Amino acid sequence: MNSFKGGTYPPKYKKTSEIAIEEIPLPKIAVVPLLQHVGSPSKPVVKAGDIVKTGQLIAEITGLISARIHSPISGKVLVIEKRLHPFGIGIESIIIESDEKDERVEFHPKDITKLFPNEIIDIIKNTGIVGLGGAGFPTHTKLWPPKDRKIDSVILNGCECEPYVTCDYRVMSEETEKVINGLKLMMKILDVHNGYIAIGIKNKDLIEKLKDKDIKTISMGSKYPQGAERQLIKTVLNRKIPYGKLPMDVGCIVHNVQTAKAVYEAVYEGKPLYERVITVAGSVKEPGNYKVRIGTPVSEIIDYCGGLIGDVKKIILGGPMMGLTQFSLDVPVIKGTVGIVALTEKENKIYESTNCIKCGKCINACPEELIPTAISWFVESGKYYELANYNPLGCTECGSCEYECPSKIHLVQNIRTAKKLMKTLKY
Amino acid sequence: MRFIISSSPHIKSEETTSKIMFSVFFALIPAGIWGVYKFGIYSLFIILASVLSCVLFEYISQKYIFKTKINISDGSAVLTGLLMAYCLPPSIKLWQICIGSFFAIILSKESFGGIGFNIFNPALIGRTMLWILFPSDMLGVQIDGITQATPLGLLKGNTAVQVSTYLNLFIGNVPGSIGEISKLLLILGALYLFWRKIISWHLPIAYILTVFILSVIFGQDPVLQILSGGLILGAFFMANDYTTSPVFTKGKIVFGFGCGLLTFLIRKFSSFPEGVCYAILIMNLSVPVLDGFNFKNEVLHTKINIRKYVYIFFILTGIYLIAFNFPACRGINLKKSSDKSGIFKEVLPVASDFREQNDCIKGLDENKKIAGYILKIQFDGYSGKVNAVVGVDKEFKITGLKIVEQNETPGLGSKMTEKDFLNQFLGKSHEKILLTSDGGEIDAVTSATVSSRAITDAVREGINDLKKKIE
Ligand code: SF4
Ligand code: SF4
Repeated sequence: MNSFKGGTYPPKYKKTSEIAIEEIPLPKIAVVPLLQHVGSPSKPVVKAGDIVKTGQLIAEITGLISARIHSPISGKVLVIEKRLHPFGIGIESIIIESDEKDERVEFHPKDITKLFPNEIIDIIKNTGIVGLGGAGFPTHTKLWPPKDRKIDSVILNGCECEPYVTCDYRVMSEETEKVINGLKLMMKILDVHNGYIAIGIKNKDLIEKLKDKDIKTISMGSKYPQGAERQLIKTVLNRKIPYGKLPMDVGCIVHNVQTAKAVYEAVYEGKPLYERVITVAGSVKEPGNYKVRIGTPVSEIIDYCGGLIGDVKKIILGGPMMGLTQFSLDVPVIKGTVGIVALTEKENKIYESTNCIKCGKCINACPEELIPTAISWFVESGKYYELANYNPLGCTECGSCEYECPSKIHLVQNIRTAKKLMKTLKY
Repeated sequence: MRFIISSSPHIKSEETTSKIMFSVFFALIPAGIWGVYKFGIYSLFIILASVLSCVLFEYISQKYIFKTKINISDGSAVLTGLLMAYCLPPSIKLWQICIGSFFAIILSKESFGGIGFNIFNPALIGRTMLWILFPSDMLGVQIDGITQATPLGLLKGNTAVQVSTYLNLFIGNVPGSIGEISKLLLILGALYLFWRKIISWHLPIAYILTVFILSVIFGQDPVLQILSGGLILGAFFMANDYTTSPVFTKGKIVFGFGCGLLTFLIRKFSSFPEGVCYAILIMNLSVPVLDGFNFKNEVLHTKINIRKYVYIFFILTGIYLIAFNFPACRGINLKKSSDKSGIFKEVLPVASDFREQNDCIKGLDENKKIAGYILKIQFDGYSGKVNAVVGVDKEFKITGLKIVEQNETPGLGSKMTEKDFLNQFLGKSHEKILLTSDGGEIDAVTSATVSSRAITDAVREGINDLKKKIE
């Protein structure tokens, strides 16, 4: 089997993989940020005092790349104001108070045999679907590549190379039909005949279940970052994406399995995207996979899971390799949140950085073939003019280098600084 | 509740610098125990003195001289001390080791910026300085092991002996430096480090392969070349040191090749018996260049600028040249061989004067009558000629036999200098100079039959030739 260069093997901690998805009760107050995707923030179409229903459109697309947002609960719009966002900054959010009735707007299922690809894309656009694997790129944009790009394959990414996170695995096991049909829809839109599902956890039953005459299921190695787009394409199709290019430049498109499920629900059931499955893991009483409404504050989810245990030092939204730490539990779950991981001091040892001993482990681990130690050193020593030679912008911030570093140098942090410097100083 | 905010990744591998250093330390322990077992408890003191003095110097320099953060707990000084002790002979004195540690830690490591910034392997710098300052103490071991001669030509014919010689070398039944004799234990340690993913195979394998191939090309015994001296220790533990070797695989292979080439050249053509240490130090100089090919235009991680770099290069070359030409380093026996009549008298005591005539040295007694002859013989050792002087009386019976000079790699020693063996030759005429196993009267040295045969043959044929010439 093909593989990608570099990578590392962090421990898996996938204990939650066999825990069935459970629905979390509705939040009392939902905080729905207007920016949950890559692109420009959406524009609210409701105002304070409005009564909204579950699934009702509350924010509209602005600009070229953007996504609609729908109300996750029914109730009253309290206010639209800046609230803490998982990115660590204040972002305009619509605050909705629940009436606990969860009244839904009427969904309009479509007969897909009568639909043209562009009509399906319109449905996806109208239901506000974005990539649910983390980055949150609007799905309709991805499914509408420029004419000169010939797409021949669609890959569904179910790798979940991040430790702890198991939600995609659960979705694949429990909602197999939806995932497969979602993928088929995408293949239909793009008019391609090669569909792949890449799964991370080796499980015979799941591979059996996912069997379909039009789709190939591929079980991936356990190397991190297997689930990163560029590395996934290298493994599945043995195509290397040159620096600065997108998957569609090599004729393929990658979607998350939950995105496929959302696409299915949007088209076949008419359901907009207002909930998703996340993994809650680490030092919480009842770790597991939970279906939550977008906008549910993290504190309510953790309370439902029985609270934190031990002296939790870090709350991470996303996986521990690439996720964002939070200083407050008031942040809401957004479309791109794959999990909540609580780490105590023991699980998340804090080391002091020492001198680089030139062991080369970071270089060998980097899937993008960069020289992390050099970039880091030039940032630390102030030799910014050197940075352009080392292409820090090629870094996907996967964290493999820092994970491996025996000197515990903050390589990724320094590389992020380098990226900012490159952009601001224009070297 | 207070949570920590930090940049991803939030989990890190268990591997730390000090864990790596101590893993290497533990991988080296068995070979050290073997050394102590072979050379006695004093070697243990050498190891302890070296480790402790290195740690102490590291502490002193970090606290009082360079005023940096004290991190002796990272284990790098401990490892430097251990490695330095491993390439010292058991004859070194404890106070001398402290001087070596001073050079190793303060001058070659801390003054460059501490761990990660040094350009030379500190342990090897320590050893080299000891070579320069105390050559006779450093040579001690080589004098002991000096006359072992395992001639290549003979080895080829005799598989059993060949195997037993290799085996002794491999297991470590030979003299040499404390830690480098047991190749078996060193390789086991290296395998452990491979398994721990601490070292990569590229550099040591390139190094060893280069020596192997060059030996084949130049007609040396490749297995002997690899198993002798400090090659295994050097290839796996010294050359492969992270900081002083290139980071990229390509660079590592070039580095290994360079080390192999230099080791071979030094062993073959210089008067130094052992080339590993200098080969690695010289190649250390090339690391910024080898890395630079990949690092484009910056000499990465080296706080010094290029001028200082050139400067250091010249100093080192100077040191190297001096060391090469240092008379004492060329083998103490050289001195004796210049004092020729002394040696002649030793092997032919009845003569009082010596005269060279028609390619033949005659020994004259007090009445200026011929008392005997001096015979210079030479036979092939595996890495050079071995010279010996034989004295015979008028009846061509042997009066004395002395091995004068050889360039053998230390650590190959047999017990050929032992009086018991050499004394067997005395008073014998040349027909009888044959090993007992070949029908003669000379008992071979146990486990060194081949060497014994080489010298026996050379003596017998030498006398034969002389006899023909005189008669
Ligand atoms: S440099 Fe960037 S892409 Fe490479 S390993 Fe580090 S974080 Fe990943
Ligand atoms: S992994 Fe860390 S210590 Fe090793 S070369 Fe990279 S930065 Fe240096």
